[in-house]
Amino acid sequence: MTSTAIIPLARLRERYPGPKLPRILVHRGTAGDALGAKRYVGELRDALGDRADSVYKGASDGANWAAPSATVFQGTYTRRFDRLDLNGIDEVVACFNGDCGDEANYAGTGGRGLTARLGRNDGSLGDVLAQGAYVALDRALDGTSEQLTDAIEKGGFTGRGGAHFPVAMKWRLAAGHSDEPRMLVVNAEEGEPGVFKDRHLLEGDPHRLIEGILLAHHAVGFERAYVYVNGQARAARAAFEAALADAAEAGITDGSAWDREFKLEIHVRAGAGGYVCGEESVILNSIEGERPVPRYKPPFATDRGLFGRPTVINNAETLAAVTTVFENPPPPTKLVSLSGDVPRPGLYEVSVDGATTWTGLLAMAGGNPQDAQAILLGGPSGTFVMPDQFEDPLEMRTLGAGGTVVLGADADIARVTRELAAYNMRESCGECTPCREGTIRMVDLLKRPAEHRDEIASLIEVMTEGSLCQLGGMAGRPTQSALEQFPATFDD
Amino acid sequence: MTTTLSTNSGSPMAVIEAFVTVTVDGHEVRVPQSAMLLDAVVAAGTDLPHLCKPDDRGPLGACRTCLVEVEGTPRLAAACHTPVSDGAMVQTQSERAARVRRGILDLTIGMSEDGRGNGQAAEQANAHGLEVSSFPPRPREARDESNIFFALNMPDCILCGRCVDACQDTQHIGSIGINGRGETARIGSAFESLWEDSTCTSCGQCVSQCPTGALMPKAGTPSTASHRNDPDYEVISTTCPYCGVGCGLQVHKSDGRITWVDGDPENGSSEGMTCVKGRFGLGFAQDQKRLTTPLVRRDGELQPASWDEALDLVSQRFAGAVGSFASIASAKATNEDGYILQKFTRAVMGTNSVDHCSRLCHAPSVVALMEQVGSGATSNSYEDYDNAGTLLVVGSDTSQNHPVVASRLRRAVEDSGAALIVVNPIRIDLVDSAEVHLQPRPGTDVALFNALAHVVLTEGLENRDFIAERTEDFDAWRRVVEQVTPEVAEEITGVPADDIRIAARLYARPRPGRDGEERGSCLIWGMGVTQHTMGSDNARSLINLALVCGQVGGFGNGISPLRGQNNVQGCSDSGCLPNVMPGYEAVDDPQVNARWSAAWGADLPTDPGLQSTAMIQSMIDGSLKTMYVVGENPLLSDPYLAHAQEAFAQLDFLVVEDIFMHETAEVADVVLPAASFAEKFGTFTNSERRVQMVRPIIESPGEAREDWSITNEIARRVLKLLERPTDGFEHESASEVFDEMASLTPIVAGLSHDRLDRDGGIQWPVPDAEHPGTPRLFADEFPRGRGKFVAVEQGPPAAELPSKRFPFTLITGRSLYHWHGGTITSHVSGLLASVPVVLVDMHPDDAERLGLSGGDDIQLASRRGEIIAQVQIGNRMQRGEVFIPFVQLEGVAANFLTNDQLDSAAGIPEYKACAVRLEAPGTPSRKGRGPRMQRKDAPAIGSRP
Repeated sequence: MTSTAIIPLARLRERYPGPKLPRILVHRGTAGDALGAKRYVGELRDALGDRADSVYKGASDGANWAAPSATVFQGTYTRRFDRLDLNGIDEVVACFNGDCGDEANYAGTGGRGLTARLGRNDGSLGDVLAQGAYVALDRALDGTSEQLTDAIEKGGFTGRGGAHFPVAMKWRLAAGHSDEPRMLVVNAEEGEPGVFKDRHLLEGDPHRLIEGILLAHHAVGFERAYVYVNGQARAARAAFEAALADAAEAGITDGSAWDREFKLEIHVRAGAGGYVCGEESVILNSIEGERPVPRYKPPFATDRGLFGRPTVINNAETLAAVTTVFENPPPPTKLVSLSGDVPRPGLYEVSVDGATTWTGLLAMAGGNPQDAQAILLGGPSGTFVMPDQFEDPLEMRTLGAGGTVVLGADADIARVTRELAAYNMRESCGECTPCREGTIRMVDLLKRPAEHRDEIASLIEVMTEGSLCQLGGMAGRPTQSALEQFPATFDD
Repeated sequence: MTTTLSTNSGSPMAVIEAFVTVTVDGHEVRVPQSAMLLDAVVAAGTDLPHLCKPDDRGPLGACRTCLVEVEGTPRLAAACHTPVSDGAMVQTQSERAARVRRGILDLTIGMSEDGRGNGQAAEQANAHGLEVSSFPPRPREARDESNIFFALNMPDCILCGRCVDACQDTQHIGSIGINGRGETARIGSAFESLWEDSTCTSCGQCVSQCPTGALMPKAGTPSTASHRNDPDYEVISTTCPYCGVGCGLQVHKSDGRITWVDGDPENGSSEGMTCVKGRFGLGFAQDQKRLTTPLVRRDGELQPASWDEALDLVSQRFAGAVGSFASIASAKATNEDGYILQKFTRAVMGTNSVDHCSRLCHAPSVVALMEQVGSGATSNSYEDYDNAGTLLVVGSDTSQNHPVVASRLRRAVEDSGAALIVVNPIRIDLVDSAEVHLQPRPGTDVALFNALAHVVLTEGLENRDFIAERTEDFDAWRRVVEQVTPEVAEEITGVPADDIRIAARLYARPRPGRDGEERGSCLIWGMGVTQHTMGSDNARSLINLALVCGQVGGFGNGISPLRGQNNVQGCSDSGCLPNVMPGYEAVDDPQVNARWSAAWGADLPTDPGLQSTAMIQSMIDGSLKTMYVVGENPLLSDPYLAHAQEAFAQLDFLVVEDIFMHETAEVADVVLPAASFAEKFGTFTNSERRVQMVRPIIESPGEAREDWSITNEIARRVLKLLERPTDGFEHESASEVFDEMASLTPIVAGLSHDRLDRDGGIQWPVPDAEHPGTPRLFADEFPRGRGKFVAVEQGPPAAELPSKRFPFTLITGRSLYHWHGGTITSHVSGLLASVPVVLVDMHPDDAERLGLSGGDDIQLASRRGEIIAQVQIGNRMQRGEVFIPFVQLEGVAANFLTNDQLDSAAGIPEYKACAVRLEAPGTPSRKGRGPRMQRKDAPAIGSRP
């Protein structure tokens, strides 16, 4: 890195200084507030008296199981205090005052990967700048668009929404339409039950997504970017919009902080809800104000997408991930939303390095492989991972969007299967016959599955082969997987 | 790889498209590179279901019944939206493809009440070996029968979305959508309202597209897309008999009756669309009340007579009327009918007194256009609206009067981002799609258009090259418009000065297209411009604006007076005007006179004849004694009807030739029954100068005959009485008549019925048989050489201004569901049911002040008469202005109120503005003159003494 390149960031950091230490950060956000984290901000401020301004509000660090919780930052180490509702705040205050107890509970001062700043900042620009925000962008701006795309390619970045499409290839396809205005759509819809990664990213480190958007813009050159946020994720949207306003004020989004002119408009759009709204072509219709139904392909979005323009549609996690492009080597990680029958459900960033197994994932959450009947991977479009696969390594390709639900020994697989079928029926947009009619008929057939095994198999084929989009195309998978893995469950 | 050259005539784009080879079930076919697999399958002659894919529209991809197997592709492909690739190997009948299709069809027919499916869904299920669905019935919602013309039966619906596409993306109405999602998805209008209460215009495009008959016309037998393959149906292509848009119709006939109408997707003017009248309004041709036999007045009563008796009487009286005769031609009849009538009037009766209803609609446009550019016709084509950046629509309620053109305008706005500027004192429906609505006080167009030009000049937006190279008299005109600042115009028109500026900029500098290409502006106008005592000046001010901006003669620009009747353009082209021969050659030009006299073997008159509005005065003063009225009803369409009735009562002998009895026929001496458009060959010429074939569909009722042949027969009999040769009137067919007209009229010289049959409609001028037609005029020069600026200044807004006694301004116009006076549409039960009484639109404040509610009866009185109409309160009108369509319903017609003051140059009456007052029904007339019009009574028209 040349010395001239550091100047813009140095300027920014001077203008937006980082936090004073020590400090206490209360993990609010959707997960924290749902469990009453809000009141501990006040309690801790009262307890700190004239140092009340050292208590900050932050978002969740992904440890949803620990909420309500707070983390003390002491400069050389941090320590999180869990379940304040059970444990009270005395230990927190003590730690703030220097007595943090057993060093075994300490954590490091910084992380890696895309959750590095999650739950470790108060949402201010200065806080994240101090933790490395916009360093990747700063470095990318030293080089050409092509150099950045090459680095993305070399880093092996693929889509994190489930389709696993190479990011660099998608960017190049759109960039090839150099004679037309191009569009970027950020998919933060996250309608799939059991997936909550984008909410955490947007609530906890929205500047990472802004940086990802600006990196993509540097590589491809967009006229406009639309961030499509789930309509129910109000906190995520508010946090992102606040960060966007800060970044604009700081001259980050228009490039003036680097004495450049980015010429990019960034818009935020909220969906009105619906699983199908996460389907990328549905998002295009939704943003255009059309009925939220899928478009047939081709044409592909990179040729003719939003408003008929060449369009890159990237998952929010994907764009967050590309900010790690210059970390050497970029960590092959994936956000996994883990819920169900485990002691510590929450958001986990797991290494997809060939070494991490399902058992390893369960262990992170305090789970025991022996207690699980199966792990449902991919929600209503998903399949059941069986205990005999628990020692298999996690693969980016199979992890999909990373929604995993651990089903304990008591779980009623037949009921789970019916629930998922009913969910697909409710969430089918109704545009094409195989999905609309097929999901209705599937619910009926699953009332007496033993009598209808052949019909169910035919129906799954029709839905899989015939549906217009992958909601219908994958709607039969849980049923198919359940029938294969738990044949006896359906012999009633 | 071979290539083929396809050219889009008149468009700057010539597309060279490569072809590829696709193998379908072992058969190789060649299809264009841009084709879809379904095109290849169809080209191979293979039957593959495609329930949601209309033949003339893009794919929707919803029904999934066209799945095929493509070698090398893991999933089955939907043929309708999968592009072809060279060398693709397609299997439509593979075990897997057929099995999955069958499964989808099983789900599809499973939606129906009896599990057997309907229409094409049932047909295709049967073809896949399915009689009844394997799934139990899935009960769904019941019917929406609120529309007068068609009903929706949800259990028959397969949610293919074709009706939605028809409504939203073809007609751009947007009243049909899919409500709910998934299991609850259903067809309906916004907010679940009944269709009757939605924005639906009953155009029936949705019904035309429905593959199952879930949308079904209420009258007649099912003949929609759901039963396309029924062998009992004969389909005849013809041209719509209603407005001047000139839509191509495919009329379905069964058992000798018209059963259904589809739009003709091949027709360049309408592109597969029709409005409610074209779709559901042809029933008049088979109405019981058609005239079926000649009628002759005996003992004061019209009584049936033989053709011989009637024609002998007519020819004797006509033979004695040379010198005091006039005829009115019909803009509803064919070019051939008009040609023979004007030939008879000139060559036999020795007068140029032949006119038609264009006198009452676009005569001022023609006056101004002839003066300023040298040709009275629309300069461009509808396709230019598609390609324009700005559409300036002046005094035209296009969605009521020219619904299919309105669809194209909305399409330009929605699909191409064109800016629509509406200039209209009324808040018409099109304003919903407009970027700017200029709402001037009636009669202030000159001030408004001078101000628009003022902005163009002061902001330097004029087209200097065009002005220098193509125009004259610029400076004199400039000095006049320089006085009219937007602020001055605001005082006169009531239009905010800044709105005038915005509109001027949009018109002079239209927005570029999506891909940055420069675009033009189209200027489109209707009766709101012309039907004023200063109608010609209004038209001049419009043309001046087009000239100063250079928005004429190019692709995507131009000037279009939208013609009102189906053949008003052709009626003018074929010479039914008192001052010109066919092809607009001046009757008083000695060379013209010599040429036509020689061709027709007659000594033709050189004095211009009477304009139709002047005929009334000549009847009153006794100089006009004998009239021949073909397909017109002046005692309904003329202004100040009481006065017109007096005039007609003065005639010695009146012959009316029509398809229905009407107000004018009631007072005739002889009534001759004519064949309707549905019973004859001929041609109509539409508003974009497209000459199109009319073809017989049904038999004429009784003894009705074609107009041209009746006139021909009268001519022969008169000539025999006058002891002159009859060989100018010996035509055997409409085709022969057309050939004679073509041989003498350069603008249509290259046309014949044979060629129109072969090539479809063609836009004149067509100088020779090889010429492809002329989508746009004036590309290089104007017929008069340079375009002429004509300075015009704002005069009094109307001949009759609101006063203390008559405080309201009455504006007249038309209603979507009726056509002109309603002589035809009141014989179509559905149209009559849609608007059964005369409604008067008014502003809510005026209604409140007068204590009126919607649905109340109110009497309107002008200095000339009174009528009673039903109050309709809405957002259309400004305060102090009321609107009535001029249709006659239940004996009530607005023209009892209107003023017969004329534009001096064009002879058009001021239908668009007269002063009225609103009063309680039954208030006695203060002047004690004029007929009292009472609803539910027969028309109060006295029979002739």
